Parts: sequence; C-alpha cells; structure tokens
Amino acid sequence: MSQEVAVRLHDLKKTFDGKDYILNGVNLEIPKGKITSVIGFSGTGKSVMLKHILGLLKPTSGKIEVLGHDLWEMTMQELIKMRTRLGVLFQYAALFDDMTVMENATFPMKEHRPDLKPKEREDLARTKLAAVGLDPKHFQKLPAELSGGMRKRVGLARALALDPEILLYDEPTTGLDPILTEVVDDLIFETHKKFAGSTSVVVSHDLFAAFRLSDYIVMLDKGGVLLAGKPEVFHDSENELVKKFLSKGFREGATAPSAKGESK
Amino acid sequence: MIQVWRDNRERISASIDEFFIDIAKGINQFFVDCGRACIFFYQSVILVFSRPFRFEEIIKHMEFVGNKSVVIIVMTSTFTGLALAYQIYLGFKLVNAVNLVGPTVGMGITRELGPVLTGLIVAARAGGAMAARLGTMRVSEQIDALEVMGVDPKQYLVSPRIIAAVITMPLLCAIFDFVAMMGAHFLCIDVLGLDQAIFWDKIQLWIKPGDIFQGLLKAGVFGVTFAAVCTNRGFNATGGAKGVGEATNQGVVNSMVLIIILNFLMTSFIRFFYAIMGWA
Repeated sequence: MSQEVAVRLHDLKKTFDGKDYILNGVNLEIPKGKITSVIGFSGTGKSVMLKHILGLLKPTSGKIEVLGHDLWEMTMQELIKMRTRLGVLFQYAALFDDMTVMENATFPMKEHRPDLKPKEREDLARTKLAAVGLDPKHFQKLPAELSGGMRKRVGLARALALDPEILLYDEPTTGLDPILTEVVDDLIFETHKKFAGSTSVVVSHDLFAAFRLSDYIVMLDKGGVLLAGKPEVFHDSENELVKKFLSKGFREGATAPSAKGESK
Repeated sequence: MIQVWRDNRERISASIDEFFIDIAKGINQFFVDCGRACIFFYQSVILVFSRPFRFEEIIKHMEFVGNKSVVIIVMTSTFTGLALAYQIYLGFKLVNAVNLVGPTVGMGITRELGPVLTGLIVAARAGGAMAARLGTMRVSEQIDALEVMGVDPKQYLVSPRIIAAVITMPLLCAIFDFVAMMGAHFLCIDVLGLDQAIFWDKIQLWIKPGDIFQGLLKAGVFGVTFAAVCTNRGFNATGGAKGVGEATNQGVVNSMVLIIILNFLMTSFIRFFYAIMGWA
C-alpha cells in the first residue's frame, strides 16, 4: 500500500485463556482518509481487533501503530492524548444514561477542552448534533427517551466532538431495521464527507453496507486477514470462503459493488 | 438400611464432598474478592490526587450516599433506640439499676449499633446502587466509552464514590446516634417515667467523647469497605443483566459480612489501644 497509513497492525495475536487465539497474527494497514470496512463471520475477532486499535485490550503479542505511534510504547498520558484523536460509535451507542443528549455531546469537550466556556461547548455540540441530523427538540432528552437511530446519531455527535482523525464504528447497524440501517449507513458516508480528511473504520457484518460505503475492505477469518483490498478485489476473488460469504451476506435485492457508485 | 447405604455409598460420599467443596469455594471466593477490592481500592484512591479533581462528582455522590440515606437512617435509628432502651430497662429493672439505662443505651449505640447499623443500611442502599450502576455501565460499554474518550474510568467513577462514602458515613452515624438517643430518651422519660436529670447526668458521666469518636471512625471505615467492595464488583461485572444482578448481590453480601467482621476487629483494636494509652 503506497498511501499514508492510519492504523498498522503487525502480527497481532490475542488469547484470553492462553489456548485459543482470537487473533492469530493479524497483519493489516488501514489507509488514511478512506472508509475501511472490516467484515467477517461472527466470532472472527472483528470487535476484538477494534478494541486493540482503541487500546482497550493489550495484545498477547504483536504491534499496534495508530497515527504512527505504537500504542503500547506510550505512557498513560500519551495514550489519553492519542485517544482524543479517535472517535468511536459503539454498537449500542453507549450513551451515558444519566446525562441528557446535550450533556453527552459536550462531555468530551468538558474533559479535554477546559479552555472552552460552557456556552461555547454547547454551541459546538449543537453544530455536531445538527451535522448528524438530530432535531434540536431532542437535545434535553435522556437517552432512554430516544429511538435506536437517534441514539446512534447522538453517539456519533459525541464521537465527533473533538474532531477526531480516525472514526471507528463498531457494528453500527446491529439491531436496526432495514430502513434505519440504510439511514445509519448514509450517515456514516455523509459524516466522512463532511469531516474531510478523517479516516473511518467500520466493523460490520453487513456486506451490502460494506460494499456501498467502503474504499477498502478487510475480511477476517480464523483470527487472521483472509482478504484485503478494494471492493472489486472481493468481487473477483476465487476464494471459496469469500464467495460463500458474498453469496449469503447481501440483503435481498441488493447489488454489490456497482451500488457503491450510485450511492456516492 | 446398611444395604441402602452400601448401594449408594459413592453417590452419597460424592454429594458430601461436593457440599464441602462448595463451602470451600465460597470462602475462597470471599477472600479473593476482598483481596481484589483492596487492590482496586488502592488503585482508585491514589487517583483522587491526580488531575482533573472531581469535586463536582464527589458532591453529587455525597448527596446520593448521604442526603438520600437520611430518612431511612432516622427511621431505623428511632426504633433501634426505642427497642434497645426498652430491653435494657426490662433487664436493669430486675436488679434495680434503671438509672443506668441511659448510659448503657448510649454506649451500645455510639460504640456498636450506630456504626454497624449505619454501615449495613447504607451498604444495602447506596452500595447496592453503586454496584448496579457501574455494572450496567460496564455491560452497556459506557465504561469503555469513557476510556476511549481519554477519561480514566476509575478516577471518574470509583474514586469520587469512595471519597463520598468516607465523608458521609460518619455524618450519617452521628445522625443515627443522636436520633437513637432521642428515641431512648422519649421511651425512658415520657413513657417509662424515669428521671430526666438522672438519665442525662449518668450519660454525661459514663459516655466519653472517645466512645462517640470510635463509632464515627468505624463508620468511616465501613464506608470505605462497602464502597470499595461494591464498586469493584460493579466495575468488573460481566455477562449482561445476569452479571449485573450477581455483582450487586455479591457486592452487598460481601460488604455486610466484612462490616460485621471488621466491627469486631476494630472494637478489639480500639479497646487495646485505649488500654495502652490509659484511656480505658
């Protein structure tokens, strides 16, 4: 890969019990400024890999470089600083349920931008919430009063609060109906367009979304990278597992790579 | 009978083994939990002194642990004072020593019942809520979210709760002592007709400030205990709603057992210390 790299995983291995390796030597480069989707069957280590990129899990062996820095060579203070350059949309948004939408969206700024006055923080949060399409009438509501789609929007606004260089999405469409799934997919794409220069990493098992949105796709299997490349590479692949995954994974009536062009 | 025993000997002895193994496992788990809570407590408390200082969070949790426990403390202490005074009155009446009901109730309340009951009540109410809250945050990835936002979850979630418990528990214990004594006073003077002057005179004579302080000290230690145990269980909860339920249950049960054990150890230590200092 000749372009700049946002995340580099080198021979990443992870076992929780010392016997079964969830990740068994993952070598991967995620390009800067692009949308990369990480796909694969359930239990292939997609979310575990994401947690390693975020520094939430320590690898059993191997190296993780994020924006040119080895995560586990850093001091705690450096790691905290690095994390402010990352934004994450969790599977179920992980909003703080005792805080209102506005408090959730301003929380990262409250922690890391003490130079901002409360009013300035709120104004910035309003901009982010508007960017993800949330109606201002919901700003003072608690997460429990919001629908699944709205929660994802708030989660995304919160992830965008500190203008991260890398945005990571952990199964963003899990548990949503097909219409809402497309809405969230579009939201990811629109957000990537609006925040020019940012890198997006989407962990998903939704093939349709992966092919519609991504510039680069990584397929994991048995704790390693089975195939990585542009969507066309997958379409042309002769690998039996890739073929099987592609044949089973598309939503009914959807077409794969060709749909990407239409959407974009 | 012997034949039945012979036929089922292996099954019966396996059941007996299992019974004792379960007990041993339970005891082992209890000590493992205590050890983990100690390490967790140490890691969390040193974070209190690191920036950013979380005064706002401490106040918020003090309000939850303290203010919201006042009503239940007042209710239980009133009836504890009434019941204890009545029982002691009945006993002392037999030996014609009803003048000593006041100081005896006072000693029992300030040294033992005040801190222990306050500890148990607040551990059940606030400790359970702490474990459930942190457990829910853990399983719904809110703690992970904090971490990836560059916020130390222990410093943000655990340290303020422990500090809030340490500060508010002695205050709640003081309220317990006061209200329980008011209950005892009401029963002894207004209902049983004891002499008010003698009642207070004997209390003044027998109850030393050290009795009250040792109770408050115990309450502070019990605050640390239940806050460390319950936050540790909640913070490390796994396995969805079931895991949160188990963490809450274990947190409260372990806290209560520890409070009772620590109370005895502290009583012994304090009496020993007072004896050395010549205060006893």
